[in-house]
Amino acid sequence: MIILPEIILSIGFLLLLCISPFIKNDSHKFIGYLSLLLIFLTQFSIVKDIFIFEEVFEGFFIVDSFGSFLKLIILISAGLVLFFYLIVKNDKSLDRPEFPLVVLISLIGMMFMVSANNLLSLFVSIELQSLALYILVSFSKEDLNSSEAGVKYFVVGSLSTCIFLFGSSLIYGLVGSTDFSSISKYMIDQPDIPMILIIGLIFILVSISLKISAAPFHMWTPDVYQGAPTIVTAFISTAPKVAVFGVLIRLLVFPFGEIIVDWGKLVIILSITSMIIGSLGAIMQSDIKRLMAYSTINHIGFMLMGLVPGTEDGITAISIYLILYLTMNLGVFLFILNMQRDQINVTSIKDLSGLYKTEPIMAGCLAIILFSMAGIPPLAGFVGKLLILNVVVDSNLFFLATLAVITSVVAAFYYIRMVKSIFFDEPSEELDILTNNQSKLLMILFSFFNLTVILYPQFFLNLSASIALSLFALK
Amino acid sequence: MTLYFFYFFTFIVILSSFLVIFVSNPVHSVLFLIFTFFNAAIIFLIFKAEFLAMTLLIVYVGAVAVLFLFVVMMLNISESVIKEGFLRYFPFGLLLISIFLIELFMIFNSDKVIFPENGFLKINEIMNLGMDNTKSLGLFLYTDYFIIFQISGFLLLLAMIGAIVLAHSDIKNPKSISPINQKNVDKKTIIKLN
Repeated sequence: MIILPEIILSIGFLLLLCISPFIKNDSHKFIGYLSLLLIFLTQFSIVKDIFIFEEVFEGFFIVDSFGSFLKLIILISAGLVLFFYLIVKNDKSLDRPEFPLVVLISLIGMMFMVSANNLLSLFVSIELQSLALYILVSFSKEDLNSSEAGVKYFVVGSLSTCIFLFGSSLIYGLVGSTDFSSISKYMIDQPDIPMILIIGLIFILVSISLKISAAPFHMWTPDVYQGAPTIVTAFISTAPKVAVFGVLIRLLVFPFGEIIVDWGKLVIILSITSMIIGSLGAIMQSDIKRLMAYSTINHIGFMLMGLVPGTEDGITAISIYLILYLTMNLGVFLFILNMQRDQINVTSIKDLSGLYKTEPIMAGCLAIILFSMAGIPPLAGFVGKLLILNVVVDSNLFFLATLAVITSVVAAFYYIRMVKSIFFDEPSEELDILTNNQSKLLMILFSFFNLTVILYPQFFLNLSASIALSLFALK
Repeated sequence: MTLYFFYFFTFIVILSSFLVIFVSNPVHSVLFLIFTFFNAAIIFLIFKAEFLAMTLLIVYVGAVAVLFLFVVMMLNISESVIKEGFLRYFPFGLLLISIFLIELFMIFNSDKVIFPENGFLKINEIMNLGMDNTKSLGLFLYTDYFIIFQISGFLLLLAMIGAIVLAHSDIKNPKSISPINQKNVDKKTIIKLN
């Protein structure tokens, strides 16, 4: 069975859906732990067949190491978010068994997404994933902000869907097929590529940029990140970003690899604007979740930069950056989830002041992760940034590299301001003492990972290089 | 003969769709919309596209138009409100319509548009075997497009879960009092004087 992971996850989801109404007490916990078990089983079945390369379902989907690897990262990050959901005290309205179930179904969508090999299957799976995310964002019914964020996300998402469909219809009208290999073949056969095809690609690129929140299509990100329940923000800033980025890489490298001259410029523009807006926009923010939104935009811009040369090295660097970005982001969000004063969640940066005096260990861990996000050597974020910059400089894009360095210096300002506030500011009102031992342990693990990646980069490099190789095997 | 039928029903479609806009009573206008759909379905039938015809009837007449009818009846909009913006929006609407018309002419008069004849869609092969199109669509949908069909099924299931999650609320403290409690009310315990 080649698509065993998807089958396990789908059937497990249906089973959990059927048993969830019959559990009386703490059903969300029960279903949550079973979902974790299910995710673990799925991961196991992916690892078992990670080197398989095959087209399935009449070429609608493709199973390769690149896709399997992304599925693995997606499942791990989603599993961690679900684990956060179980160990942290959430808002009452989130304590329903549907929460882990909707997360599971969005995972099914993401797994199909990263292995899609046809515009039609890609569209259906993107829809499955996004619809689940709209529901998650507006999950907290009593909270008006959550509903507002949900509506905003839904409107932007629908727009993105329309644009995607329009682009695909242009490409289909020209090529006569939605299959990736047919599109690629058409472009190899054609002496000069018609303009309509490039316009179609631009539409698809815009739609995907809306999903990964690359500037100038980022407008929804701060509002949705702030309005959504924190656990949902942690989810939408990790797993879906990886999935959509995987789709972007696969689309640009394989079917549209022939017209790299055309999309290269577009990706450069996206990357530059994202880095600038991501670094300048965050300076004036006072809410951590909003700040994290801009930070995400900045990181996305950095990753897009690695895509510009369209080489194996670039994909390798992006894969490593994605893993490191996940660990940093999850670490920060785990801390935000635990930020409480008098049992009420707070998310202002001011609330961090003087954290060092009450919680020295947690303050240290958070500072390490924030420094890592800023890209201070020798932490993990530095390794990722170094690899991407290396690729960009190798392909003689000095202007882009310089700009990236400048924007990351600007971005470092707001991370370091947070660290300063943690260590040197006088606390106005103290936060509650963190009693959650599991969260403490996880925070320490995340910061330990960020500290020690520099000691074994070869492991990640080898892993990602073999993955990138499988992506280029198609060409 | 078929041609005369076609012209007859197209004429009715155009006439009734004009009536949808110009009739003053909103309920009548929805009824004319349904009439338009019926005639459009007949035109599909003339071209042997019975699947499309039935889908049009089931989806548009059965669900969408009835929904419109409900909305129109529940909102109870007065006629003056509807007529209000007509002159204001008329020029813009005319502009859009004329652009659309010009585009249509351009598409059908140009030789640059390609209609792929034997592209990816294997449905042509099945249709050429002499089956009617509902059967060939079914054969096609449940074999080649099986996985897309399954994922769409998941989408619908998710839509259902989502609707229930977002709309259903289990109120812990309802305002109504259970009959047993009402019956057990005691004069001495219910009045509290501090």
